[in-house]
Amino acid sequence: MTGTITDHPLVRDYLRQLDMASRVLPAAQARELREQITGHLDDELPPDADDEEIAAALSRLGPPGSLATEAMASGSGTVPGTGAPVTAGILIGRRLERVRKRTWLIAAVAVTLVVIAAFRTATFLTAGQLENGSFNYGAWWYEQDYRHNVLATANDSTQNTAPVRSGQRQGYVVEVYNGTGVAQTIIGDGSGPSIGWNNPGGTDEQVTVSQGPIGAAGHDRYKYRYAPAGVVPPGETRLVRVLWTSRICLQKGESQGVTRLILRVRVGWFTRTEVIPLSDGFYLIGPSKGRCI
Amino acid sequence: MSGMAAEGGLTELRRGVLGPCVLALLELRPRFGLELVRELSAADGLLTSDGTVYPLLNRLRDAGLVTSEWQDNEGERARRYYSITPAGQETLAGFRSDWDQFAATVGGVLNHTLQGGLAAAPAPDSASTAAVTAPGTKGRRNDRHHH
Repeated sequence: MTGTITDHPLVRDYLRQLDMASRVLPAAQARELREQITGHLDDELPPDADDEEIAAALSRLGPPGSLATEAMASGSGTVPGTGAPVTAGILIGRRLERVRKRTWLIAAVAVTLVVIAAFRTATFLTAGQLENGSFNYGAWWYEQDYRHNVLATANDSTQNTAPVRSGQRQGYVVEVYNGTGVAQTIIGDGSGPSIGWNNPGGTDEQVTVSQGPIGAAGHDRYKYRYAPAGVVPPGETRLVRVLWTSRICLQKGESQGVTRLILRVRVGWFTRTEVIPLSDGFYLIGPSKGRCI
Repeated sequence: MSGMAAEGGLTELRRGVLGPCVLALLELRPRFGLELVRELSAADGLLTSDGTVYPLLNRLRDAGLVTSEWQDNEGERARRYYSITPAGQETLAGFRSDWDQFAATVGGVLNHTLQGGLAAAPAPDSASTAAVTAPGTKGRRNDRHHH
């Protein structure tokens, strides 16, 4: 083996999960954590380490979700055991203590409204796509689309491109990761005429969520049961499937795609529309045949 | 206390003392991540998972208690070395002082040797042994020693 240990599939998969879990962190913090973990593995494992050694080292590191959760704690409070403040939060708190009661009430209402507004628009879930190298199947749901998929890179983004099959069901499946500390329930399709659709051009869009933990049936997307709603527990991943009947009119060589997934998500009492960027877009390419709109 | 509850408490205790332990190791000399992990792992039961050291190091750095810099030693890969700052040394000294007192207090309570408070209860070998035995010991004499 000529590469570094980070080229090993197990390490790559771990780092990919870490990347997904770290999407809740500021970008610089996520990059630093990844660099530290990569350096740790480079130091600990020889380039020719076998699967068993690598798996043991990764197990000792702990689940990627736990690392990201641990890193999230660095944004507030004090360093355990040292009492050292890490943010200006305490200072702000002390100032607020001096505010009179009435002002407190007004501030509390205003903050609550801001938090609710932010909460309703914030992105808590992150998407990662099924990687051909790691899993048995690609990201398109139907085998014929997967077989004809062309992966194209343009402007630092990757596009999954499959021929449009006019009048037929087409679709894709993506992993959705919950990097927060609370359960997020996907309650359905959040797309629509005002916000855009989850498909590149079709009708009868249907969004469903895999039930149960990923891993119980490997990453074979066909082995899971899908339902219109599903809970994504903290630190866990679910597959979200989007299917539609393709109706788009495309000339030969012309393509159209989606680069985000729009879901309705409920957390506790709150329901919001979440727009999750897709790292790789899903594009259909012409020519269309038969009836199109 | 059930085993699970005890384990949860121990995990919290570990979390609480890990920062000062990292500072104490860095007080001796600068170290890179894996060095710290290995030394903390060698201290039995101190580290629950290797990866938690890195977010902790970042927190210590954000708090100004440690600094980090890349070192490119010949024949080795470049590594990020962590060093304690004067503020870190001050914090560590404060923690040491607090810890000694805290450990003595907790030890005294746990072993019933604290002056005043529990130590005021009758001696275990008196007629009222049951009054001073720990809950759940079913009247056995408490023969633990203070370490």
